[in-house]
Amino acid sequence: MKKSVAVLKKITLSVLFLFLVLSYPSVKVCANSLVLAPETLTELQGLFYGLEYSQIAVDGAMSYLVTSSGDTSKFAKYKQTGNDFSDFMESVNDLSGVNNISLSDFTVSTLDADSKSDFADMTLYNSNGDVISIDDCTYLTYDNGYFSGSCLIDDTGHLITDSVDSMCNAKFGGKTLNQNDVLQKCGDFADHVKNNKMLYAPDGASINVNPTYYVWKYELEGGRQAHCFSVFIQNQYQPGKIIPINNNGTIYQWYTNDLSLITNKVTYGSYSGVNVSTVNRTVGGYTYKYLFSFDGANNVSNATVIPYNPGGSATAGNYVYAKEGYEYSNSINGISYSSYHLAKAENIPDKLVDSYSIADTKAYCDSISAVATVANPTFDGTDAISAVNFPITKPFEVALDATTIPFPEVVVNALNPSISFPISTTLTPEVIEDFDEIPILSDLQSKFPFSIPWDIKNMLSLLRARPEPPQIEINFTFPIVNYTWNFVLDLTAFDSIATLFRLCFLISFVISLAMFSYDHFFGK
Amino acid sequence: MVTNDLSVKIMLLTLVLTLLPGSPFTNFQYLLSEVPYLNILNWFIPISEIITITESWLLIVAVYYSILFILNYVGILKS
Repeated sequence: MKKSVAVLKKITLSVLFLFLVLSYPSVKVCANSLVLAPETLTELQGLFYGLEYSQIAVDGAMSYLVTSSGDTSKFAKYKQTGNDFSDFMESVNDLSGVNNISLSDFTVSTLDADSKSDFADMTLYNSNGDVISIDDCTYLTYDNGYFSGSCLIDDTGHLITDSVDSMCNAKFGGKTLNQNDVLQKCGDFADHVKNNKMLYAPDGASINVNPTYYVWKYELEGGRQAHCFSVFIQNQYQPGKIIPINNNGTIYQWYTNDLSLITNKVTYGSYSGVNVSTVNRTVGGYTYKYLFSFDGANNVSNATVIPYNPGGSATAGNYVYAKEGYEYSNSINGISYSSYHLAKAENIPDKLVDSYSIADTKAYCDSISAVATVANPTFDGTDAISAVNFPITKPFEVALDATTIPFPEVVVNALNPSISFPISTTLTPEVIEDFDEIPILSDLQSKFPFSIPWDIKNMLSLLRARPEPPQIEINFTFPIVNYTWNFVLDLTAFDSIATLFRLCFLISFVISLAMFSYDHFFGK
Repeated sequence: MVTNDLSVKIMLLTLVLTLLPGSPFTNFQYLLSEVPYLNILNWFIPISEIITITESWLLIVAVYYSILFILNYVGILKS
């Protein structure tokens, strides 16, 4: 019996730890933050493929092998934040002269950019492509129900970037990068954007051929550089538009408004029968599906037909169909219009796309920095509980009129707003059916002595910080000779070694923890 | 479905919680957040990852002991 109990304990603990290893996402995050330097991986890749090379060259964010004959077999190395790279890979595959790229070639790291100071050591560009100072920029937080987070506004009033995380995830993958793009000057990129992309206003009333773009260039650890190119569509451009781009004069590629590339490309000159099917995209917590069909497509029977530029100069028969009544484009046939009308379909029948649930009249309160007040709150089913302030610990919805609150002034947020509910002095014999409304557990976290575990957790969490190499300046003054010696301790050069050291340290910690666990639970 | 009896108990418990003092360690947390050279310390030691793993470990251990407690309570582990 005793033996079976011990076995049962072992099995229980093993299952729990296995569950931890397999499911806990932080493990993946930890692993991602401890990657080796890209050029090291390039070298390993060269060895793995048996490539003969004379040296490893580092050019900005790219490191590549240089053969003895001078050829460069490039292996692009980029760092992004928390992305599965599937979109990005699609773009990278378009790189000419780049061979043998696989997902494993990409490394992931976390770049903290959620405050203005985090941009201080980066080279920033405004919408004209000029290098600007961080002092010229404005930092703000916002939440307009579609985009949320923090961002940097350049001296022309354009957005430079949200956080690295959301920008790279949401937009970076959609931009077709080619070799020239990566190496291009920012100004050239600006022209590229202006010449090849067109944006559409939601009501079709006006067209903006000067999209707000941001070119963000940052230095990675070890001096490597990377570029994030993206185009930002201001919030007056509602979700769901597609942005056509003419890459090389013969191929049209199609993007959703967050610049995610639609995989089924529309070929110019033979668009009839082309069907651009569903594209899923998650942005800002919303998942969108886009379903496009064009004239002549096989499955337009269920589509809501939007006559394309009925009063303009469109060639007869050129129609664009949008099943949602939202998606359309005017360059499917290479026709440029000076005036057009895009009717938003009314009474959209049978939404074939089951999402597209952007609520224009709602802002979702999920961040901190202001407090939303709720007029005349109601709290059904809780009349029996009175004279108590209920701290709200969950995000809640506040109905807003999106048309009256311009971006980016919509800074709605509320983490823990304290809302006093009307006091009722009668205890009615009603039944409480929803325990979620009773905030006892959340109170425990802030009430001594029950708060101790959370206090310890919070204090330990304060030790977290962005790893930065020591750069300490010490002045030694020798008064006898009236000489001051400036000693600068700068360990930046050892960044890659420090990464390796941290990795070894972490492995040692995990092994120690495993040994301790075994001794503690099963030791004699 | 919870009866009114229970709702009164919950209300009393909530009121008792409101009488308890707030956490006295909040100020210490503010002080600790001002500690310099944390970035450098994190450069040498992967504190963030260690805290994450430790939190996960403690969570699992807590679940483990909870399961043992329940099994003991039920009587399965009594030998």
